[in-house]
Parts: sequence; C-alpha cells; structure tokens
Amino acid sequence: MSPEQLSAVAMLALLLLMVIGGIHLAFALMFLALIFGLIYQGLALFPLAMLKIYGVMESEILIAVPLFVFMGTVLEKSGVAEGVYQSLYELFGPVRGGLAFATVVTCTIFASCTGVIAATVTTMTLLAVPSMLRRNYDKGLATGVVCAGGSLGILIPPSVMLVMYGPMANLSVARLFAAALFPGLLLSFLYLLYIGVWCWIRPSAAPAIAPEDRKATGRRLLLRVALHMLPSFFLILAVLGSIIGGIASPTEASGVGAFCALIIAALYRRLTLENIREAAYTTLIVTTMVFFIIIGAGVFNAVFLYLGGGTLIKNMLIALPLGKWFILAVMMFILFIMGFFISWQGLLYVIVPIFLPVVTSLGFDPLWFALLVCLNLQMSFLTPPFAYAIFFVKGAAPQEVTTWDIYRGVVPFVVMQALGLSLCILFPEIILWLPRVTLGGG
Amino acid sequence: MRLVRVIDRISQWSGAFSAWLVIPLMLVVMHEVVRRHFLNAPTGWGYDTCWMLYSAQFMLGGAYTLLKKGHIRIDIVYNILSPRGKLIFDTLIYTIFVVVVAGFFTWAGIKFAADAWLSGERLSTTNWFFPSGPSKTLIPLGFLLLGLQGLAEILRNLAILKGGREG
Repeated sequence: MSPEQLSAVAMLALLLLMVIGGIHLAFALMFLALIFGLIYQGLALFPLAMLKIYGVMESEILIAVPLFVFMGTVLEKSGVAEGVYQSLYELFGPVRGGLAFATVVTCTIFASCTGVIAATVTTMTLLAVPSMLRRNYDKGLATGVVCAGGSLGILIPPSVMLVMYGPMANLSVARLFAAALFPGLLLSFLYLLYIGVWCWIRPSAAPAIAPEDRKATGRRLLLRVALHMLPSFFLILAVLGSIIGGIASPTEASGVGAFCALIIAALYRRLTLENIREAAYTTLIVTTMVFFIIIGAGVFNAVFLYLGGGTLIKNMLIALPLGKWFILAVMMFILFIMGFFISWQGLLYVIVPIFLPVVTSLGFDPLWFALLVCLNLQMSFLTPPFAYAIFFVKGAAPQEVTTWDIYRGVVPFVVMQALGLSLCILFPEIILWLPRVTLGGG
Repeated sequence: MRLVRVIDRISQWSGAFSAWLVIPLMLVVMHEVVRRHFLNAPTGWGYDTCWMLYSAQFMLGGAYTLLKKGHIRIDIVYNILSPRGKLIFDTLIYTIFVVVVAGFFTWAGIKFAADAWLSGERLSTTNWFFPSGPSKTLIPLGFLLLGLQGLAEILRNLAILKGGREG
C-alpha cells in the first residue's frame, strides 16, 4: 500500500470515528476532504472542490428532491392520511388484526404519494398507535407495524432516495422508480402476510373492533373508502403514472405533484398560509441537510479517489475468494453495518460510489444492484438499536410504549425485509420486469 | 451579545428567503411543463432558472439549518456528556468543523465567483447563455452565512459557559 492509499483508508476510518463521536456528517466530510486535500493536492484542491459543488448545483435531476419533500410535507398537513386511515379502519376493523392491516395499506398508499419517511412515520404514529392501543393491541405489534409501514416511503416511488441514486450512479431515475415499485409492494404484502399469520396464531395480540365502532356499513362504507382514496390515487396517477409511463421527467412530475398536493390540501380545507409556511421551512431544513451531505461527500470522494482509495477497495473486494455472490454479500453486509452509524444519504454518496466499479466489473446489472442497495438501506431504518423509524415512533408514541416494546415489535418486520431482499436477489425479475416493459431497453 | 443577535437575525432572514424559494421553483417547473407538453414550445430559460432557484435554496439555507440544529448527527456519545460537556464539545465542533471549513470554502468560493464575474463568463446547458457570476456567487455567500452562524453559536456557548445568560 502506498502512503496515499494508506491516507485514503485513514480518511474512511476517521470519518467513521468522527460520526460515531457525534460530529455532523456533512461537516466531518468537508473537514476531512479539506485536510487530506490540502496535504496531497495543495491549493489545487479548491478549484476542484468548487467545481464539484457547482456540479451539484447544476443538476437537473436533483431539483426533484426539494419538490418531492415539499409535496410530502404539504400532504402530511392536508390530513389526507387521516381520511384514508379512518375509512380503512372501519373497513378492516371487524377482522382480527384489522387495524394493523389498515395501517400497512394506508402507509403503502401514502408512500406512493411521498418520498420521505419522517413525516409518514410521525403522522402514522399519532394516528394509528393510539387507536390500536385502545383496542388492546399488543404494543410491539402496534408500533412495529408503524415503523415498518412508515419506512416504505423511502422505497416505494416517488422516493428521494431513488432520485439521489440516479445522478450518482448515472442511472435514469424513471427506470429506478419503475424498478422499485414491485419490491416496495412485495414488502408491503409480506408485512400484511406476517400480521395475518401472527393474528391467527395469537388472537389476543390484535382483537377485532366492536361492531358499534363502525359509523357506516355496507355500500355507504365502501363509498367513503373510495372517496378518501380518490385524491391519493389521482396524485399517484399524475406523478408516478407519468414518470413510469415515460411521459414526464421526475423533475417535471415533482413540480406538478407539489402543485397537486396544494390542491388536495385546499380540498381538505387545510390550505392556510401557516401550513404552507411550515411546509416550506421543513422542506428547507430537510433539503439543506441532504445537500450539505451531498456536497461534502462529493468533495470527500474526489480527494479519496485522488489518493487511490477507490482502486484499493475495488482490488481488495475483487480479490475476495468464493466468487462474485460472496463479494455481493460482503458489500451488502458492509452497507448494512455502516447503516447503523452513517445516515443513508452519506452511505449513498460515500460508500456506494466506491462499490459501483466492483459491481460493473463483476457483471451485475447496475439497476438491480441499485434496488438491492435501497432495500438494504431501508432495513437500516428499522434495525435496532439505532434506527430512525424507531426514534420517530418513540418520540410520537404515547408514554406507556417503551423502547423495548418497539424493538420487540420491529424484529419480525426486519425478518420480512430480509426475506424480501432475498427474494429480489433470487428473482431479479421482481425488479427488472416493470422498467423493461414500460421504458424499454435492457 | 448584540453580535449573536444580529447574526441570528441574518440567518433567520436568509432562511425565510430560501424557504419561500420552493414556491417560485414549483411555479417555474409547472410553467415549463405546460409550455413543453401542452403548447409544444419549451422556453430556453426554464431549466436554468430552475436549478438556480433550487441551488440558491440549499446554499443559502445552510446557516438557518445550523441555527435550527437541522444538520444530521449521531447523539449516542453526545448524550452521555453533562450539559457543560455538551457545550464545550459543541464549541469545539463549531470552531474546527464549521468556522474553519466555512472560512476556507468562502475564500475559495470568492476566487471561483470573482473569476466568473471578471471574465464575464457565460455558460450554457441548453440554449440560453447565462452569466455564471450570480450562481457561482451563491457558493461563497452560502459558506459565509454558515461560518457566521457557526461563530454566533460559539459566542453563545462561551457566554453560557462563563455563566452569563443566553444571548
């Protein structure tokens, strides 16, 4: 190993150390790039860094990030999730585990309308957890299902994670969206399956609600369900439909989607200046946080690659024994473990770019690999002890719910995610079929 | 503590400005969609205007996000520290990781933007040759605001550590 490569390894090690120590990821990235860049490149670092930053600013695709975040926060404030959940609650309520089913279905629909998880998880915790606990649902099940369902938002398109993956890996975001649809729905289906089986084994975990809790029945109830679903389906058609159908670019669809979200908020009579203001400020903070990480990672990676760190890691991975499937497993394992410490935005822009040349040289399909990465990162939202979804649920759930309840409840869903990931590895067509059919090409 | 209040105010203003940019950004994208898909007459300036609005949003939003503690960090180790320990730790981070980094990047950004202004550089991504000076200026401006807010956080923490009241 040359001294440069040794420094590259030191950069990664120091990054991990700093982040675990509690330093903001974005600033740790910029600081390390600055120090190592100045040592090895001198002042030539600065024009390079500026060009990297300007490159992010000029990106046509990333424009969709703030607009999708804005769309999600506006929808969250519009109360559309309450409407859907309330109507499904009455529809599924009389069945054992019905409220958990309603939660997963609401989350899936909401996930197809938004691209971030924080908003969904918090909304659903406030909405679904109290109603399930009141019906004597098991605390673990009640919170676990919200963690799992709420995290679907980052996987099911439109997803900010996929928008960010596209330009980083030179993949079309439209193809990524199309590829992510079935894996996302597969997870949602596996969650429903688990709830069904578990409630059949242990009826006391999720009792049915009493008949008098249903305000409407029969045809009137179905009409109500349909009425509340209408705005969401309209939005899904306008945004997802136009992207996967190849009519509009993700950026165009994100602008239209944000506008549609405002209209939906107006229909629910929640379009106040205060709500728009709050949505705009939330969008600003989420977007800025993400983009400072992207900028920091861009400069960090430029220095890391300059030092030969990329080649070093590529050679180390390729030299591993036991063939390419083992190498894939090792990469997945590294991402999974690092997901405990580095937020997904950082992993996506620091670690994944290092892996991509390995993936290409092993002959894996980059689109397929992209979805495996996203499924994997999605698992890190749920896997105890450090998981964003768990923190969000703990923060918004009633006092009586302990962190242990959530840990206990979330584990079966992590197992389901692992199962979903394995299925996607065994049957690549789950990922690759839809983009090939709607967008053509290999 | 007047300096801290002034800097906080600047960050709030820049935050408000960049937060509201999402509305014109949405409208320009919508306008472009209508022009392209329904009138079949895309504009030459639409796309470039979009990225300038979006990049202004996050470049100028850095300081406000720092003020609102919105930059992501892991707080396992941090939470073990005593309140005093947290203040000292934060002060160190803001000094080394925010002010120093922002300082270097502001300086580099000024050179980057000045070159563009002085040479009257015009760039093009589609068919509109836009002057690159204004958008390049966002880089030093953003890092300057970020560094200032970092300084304000340091001064505030030092004041609390010395036993003074929060500024």
